[in-house]
Amino acid sequence: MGLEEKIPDSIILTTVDYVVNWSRKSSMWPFGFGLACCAIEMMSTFASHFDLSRFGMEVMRPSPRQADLMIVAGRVSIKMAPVVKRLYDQMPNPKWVISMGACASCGGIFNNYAILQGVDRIIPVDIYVPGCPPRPEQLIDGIVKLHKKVMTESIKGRTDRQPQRAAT
Amino acid sequence: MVHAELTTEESGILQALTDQFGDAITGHEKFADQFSIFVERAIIFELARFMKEEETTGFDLLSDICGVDWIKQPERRFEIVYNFYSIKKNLRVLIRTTIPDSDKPSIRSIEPVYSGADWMEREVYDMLGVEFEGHPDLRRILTPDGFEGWPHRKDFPLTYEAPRFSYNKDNPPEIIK
Repeated sequence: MGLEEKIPDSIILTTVDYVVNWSRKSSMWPFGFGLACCAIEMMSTFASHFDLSRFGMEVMRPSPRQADLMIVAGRVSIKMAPVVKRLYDQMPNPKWVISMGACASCGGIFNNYAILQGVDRIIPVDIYVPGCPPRPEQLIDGIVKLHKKVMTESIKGRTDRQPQRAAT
Repeated sequence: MVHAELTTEESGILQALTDQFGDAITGHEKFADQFSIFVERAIIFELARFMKEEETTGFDLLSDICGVDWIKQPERRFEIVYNFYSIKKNLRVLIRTTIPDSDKPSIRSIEPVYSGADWMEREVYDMLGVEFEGHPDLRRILTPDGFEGWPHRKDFPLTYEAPRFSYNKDNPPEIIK
């Protein structure tokens, strides 16, 4: 919705906020970026036992242009980091990022020359789900927390979010 | 050097190599069912051709080429291990050569004989900095482009390097030690 930037600050939009946020959280399509072992747990979360489509994530879009939520599942190596950034930039607003697992959150057990120490050095992250790998219940807990966070957002926010940590 | 009992095929291989190359075969070792032969690095190309084409050896598969960094022995610092396997005989032999430490440690590439050596030698080059002469396309394979240093050397610091993107490729961030 591109009219967020044009609404002046003096207008209160509570009911519109509520409806917009409810519709955003109820059908948030994930762009599951499964890189390593956390991808297996993400796949099992999407499967029938721990179903994610009951949370509105019916389809997992492989194209970033059609996705809202990027779940970075797994180790991000330094060679892969520009690709992750480019895919994040290709996602249209509004977009959210869940960093799944220890390696995506902080580098995990790999503190070496090859692994990026946390994906929040390159893209802004909303929810960190710890674990190695996190169980499907933990990922669902993270997604429910993200839904609560979306419900508290204002329609005017979320345009120029920066990564939380410096890239170096 | 540990000497367990060699099987007849392994003794045959060792005998064939010693007959062909003489003094360049400096020793052998058998430990935990793994048979290794130590050779000089000057003959490695002829030895690869001999291993592949002769009837007595017949090693048609090169499984792996890996490198070891013996940092405490500068005159024999880099050890390159060639892992040959014979499909017909079900026999595996490790050929180990050493390269002394210098600015540009190098060894002849065996890629013209075994074409699978292409990416394996690129990996040894990327990780240890050993150049392979005669290799058609020697460049980095596992680390990102523009990475400086040879990660698997024992004097490479266990550190974290900042990623390089297109917007900062002309002004790359410095390495955190």
